[in-house]
Amino acid sequence: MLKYVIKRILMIIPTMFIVTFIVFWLINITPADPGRIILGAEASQDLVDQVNHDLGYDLPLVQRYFKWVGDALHGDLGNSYYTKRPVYDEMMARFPYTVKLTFLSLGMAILIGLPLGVLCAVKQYSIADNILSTLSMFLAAMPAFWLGLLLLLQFSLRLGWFPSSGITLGWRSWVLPTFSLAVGYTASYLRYTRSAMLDTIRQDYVRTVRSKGCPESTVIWKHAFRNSMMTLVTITGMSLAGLLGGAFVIESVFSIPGLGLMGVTAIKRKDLPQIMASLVMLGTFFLVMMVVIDILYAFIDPRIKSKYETPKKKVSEKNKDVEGSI
Amino acid sequence: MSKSANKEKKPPELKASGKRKKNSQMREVWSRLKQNKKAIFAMAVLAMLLIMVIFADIIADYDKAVDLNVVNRLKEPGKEFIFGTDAFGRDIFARIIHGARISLLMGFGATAISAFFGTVIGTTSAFMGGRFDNVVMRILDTWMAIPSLLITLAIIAGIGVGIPQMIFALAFGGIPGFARILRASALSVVNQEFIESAKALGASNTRIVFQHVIPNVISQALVQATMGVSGTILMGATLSFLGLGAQPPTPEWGAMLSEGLSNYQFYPHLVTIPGIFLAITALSINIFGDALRDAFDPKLKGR
Repeated sequence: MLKYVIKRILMIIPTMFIVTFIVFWLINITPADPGRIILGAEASQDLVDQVNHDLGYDLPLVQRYFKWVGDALHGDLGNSYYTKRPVYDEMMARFPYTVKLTFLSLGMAILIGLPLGVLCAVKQYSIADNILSTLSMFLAAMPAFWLGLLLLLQFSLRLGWFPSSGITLGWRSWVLPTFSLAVGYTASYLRYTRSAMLDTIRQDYVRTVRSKGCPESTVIWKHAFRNSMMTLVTITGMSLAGLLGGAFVIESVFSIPGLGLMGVTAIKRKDLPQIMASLVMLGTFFLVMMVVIDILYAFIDPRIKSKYETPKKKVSEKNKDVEGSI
Repeated sequence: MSKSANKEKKPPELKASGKRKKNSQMREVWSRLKQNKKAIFAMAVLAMLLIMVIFADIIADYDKAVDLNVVNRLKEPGKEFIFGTDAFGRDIFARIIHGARISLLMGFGATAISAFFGTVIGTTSAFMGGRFDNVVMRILDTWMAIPSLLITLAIIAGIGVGIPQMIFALAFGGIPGFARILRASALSVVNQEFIESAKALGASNTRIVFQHVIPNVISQALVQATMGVSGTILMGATLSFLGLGAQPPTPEWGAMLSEGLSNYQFYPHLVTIPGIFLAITALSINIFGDALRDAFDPKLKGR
């Protein structure tokens, strides 16, 4: 088991290289002219060339990439073209806000979505199920940033219960952003939990448990729910990318000084070191979370655990593939 | 896809039989769709949107959607302007109508591109098998390990903001998902006997993939694409809202939302109306996608 965990963690390294290279390559598709951005439109071409040379922008892409990697490993992500301050410090100051928003929303989605989903599955076709299923469909189709705008209008501009922007007012500042990001995911958690539970409830072993005279709550929570957990962990993995992306957008709506706000501003200004830093940080966080989820998988599902305890590695790899592709 | 398949020369009797089979399946799917009330509702909404998109120029002048008209600025919805006007005096109704064009074009365009490439990559990979399949799957794994938003933002950062760039970026991020799903369903097709007989008859690989494998997984691709469209539309609107997609004065729903921000405290119609259209479009496409999936595969119903 430990071997699997270590292997999975070590696998981040090559993936990180590929991801950073792809991002680096993509944001440099069109030739960048940072000298012009730094010095402004009126600077002479000689000076611009000089700055480009100092920054290494006259080197080929691959060479520049390895220079970036070398610097990044020393915690140097370059200076912003606009603020001239080190990008690394700014990124580290902003990153916690993005993480906080993501986890708060994920927590809310799980805490509300899961129980309601189980309820819907257990009482299939009841009034509650119909109302919640329909409602979740509506909420899932609602763009998070639009919901954010509406909440902002009602609860902050009109009623004044919560601040409209920034994070200076403690927990009050987080209520609206979390809520607007989480609603869509709560709805999709509800839908997935419902369908996963419906799948398990109909299986033979559940009938067996019932016929043995187990109380209904034990049947649902101990037997059926535990087996739907697999699906739910998968869904958490899939929604993480969306949640992180959503956090990027919600930050713009509520002016939360997180990575997203930095990334979006940087893209508009073509501030390459900042773009690179925010995107790479997003990617790293995502990859690390995926590893955590893979490890969780192994702990929840004894089948996967046992695969990694046998020496037949090839077989287990293959099986993992098939599961992933379904 | 069926169009491209029909273009190739085929012996006449094969064509006839292939066509009959297709028709009967489509008819069956259609009859199941017709029984689904939700699907009928969704299709009606989508048909209305489609009419809006096709006849946009007849319904409302494009000039009204982009020309500044300070006299009429910030009118509430009323008789003269059904949806009111924005801070520049532009008719929001006209902007919504023309915005539908952009949003739907973007959603369907980007999804069609990624569905096409995803289907071709996925089915080819399943058909070729062996090392080719392995290499393709490893590449797709890495591609999928990167959140699609990250790729989309990186592409936009690289090639600049604008609608064509955004369509390209959105399409690019969707390819691996399609490829994986289509590969999974093609795997069950490629080992069947009719593929073997096509090989024995000397058909080229391209011909087998396009004419025998793809038609058998096309329903899966269709369902997946329908589901993808609504996500793409919302994503496109989000990018435009952030200022990374359609640029002003282009009437795009997401861009309209972000333009409305400065005045929406006192004129909420600036953000409610584009948002409602966005949500209704996404919702009806989702419902239609669900219904389509049920119609193709009734076993899945009620999930």
